[in-house]
Amino acid sequence: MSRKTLYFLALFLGLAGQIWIVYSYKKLGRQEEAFNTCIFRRVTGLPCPSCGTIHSIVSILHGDFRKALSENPLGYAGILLVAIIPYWILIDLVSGRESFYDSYLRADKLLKRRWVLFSLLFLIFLLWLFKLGHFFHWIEGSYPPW
Amino acid sequence: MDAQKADMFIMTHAKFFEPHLLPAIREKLLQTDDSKFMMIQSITYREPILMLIISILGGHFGVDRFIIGDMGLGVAKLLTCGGLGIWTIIDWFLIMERTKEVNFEKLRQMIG
Repeated sequence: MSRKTLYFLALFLGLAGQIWIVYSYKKLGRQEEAFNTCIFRRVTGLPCPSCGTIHSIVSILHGDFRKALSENPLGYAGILLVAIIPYWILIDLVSGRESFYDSYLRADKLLKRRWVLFSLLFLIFLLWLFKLGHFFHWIEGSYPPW
Repeated sequence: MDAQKADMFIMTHAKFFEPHLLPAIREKLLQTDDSKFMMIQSITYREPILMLIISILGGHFGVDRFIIGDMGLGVAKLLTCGGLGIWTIIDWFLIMERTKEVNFEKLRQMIG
């Protein structure tokens, strides 16, 4: 992928993510349900592996780290990505360096190793099983609000 | 490689590449040794239309990005629920071009 396309895509998505978090933070703060963007959830009715990320991020912003973990551990990854990437790209664009692109290429190369990719996918699969377990009440405990 | 073979390749494989790259590909093929022709023909290229269909059906989990080999973006897309659904839609428009780019990179690696 060319540098320009990657920067445009990542910057756009990062900023959209930030706007989305602010919107959800306000909505969830008023105890309203935020608009559900998950296409998989809408089609099948089942939670997807990353459902609950926004709830988790809002919990992190409220300082409730345990609740965030129970809602979706991916919230931690999500908030780091959204908080760092847009500024990283802006700094790159201003200073004329390519550090973000280099890091992307390195991550891509790492993920092309089979065992790295499959262990990551396996972890996500486990997370999904856990979510489905809650959804179908195979696992005891309250149903997290996603 | 003789002109007939190069033209045949261009005719049968035009859909896999960006139209503006076709003349350059033809020039390159003409300079390439005849012995590489079978190898060039045996590369499996990704079909852009098929990738678009995959993107519409499985783009939410980053399946399209994984298949064309953008592992980093694939994982990011999987983790963020298809970029909250926005990235999924953006990729419907980007994926065909990207597939053609990947095909061209494969061919370029082969003919140098």
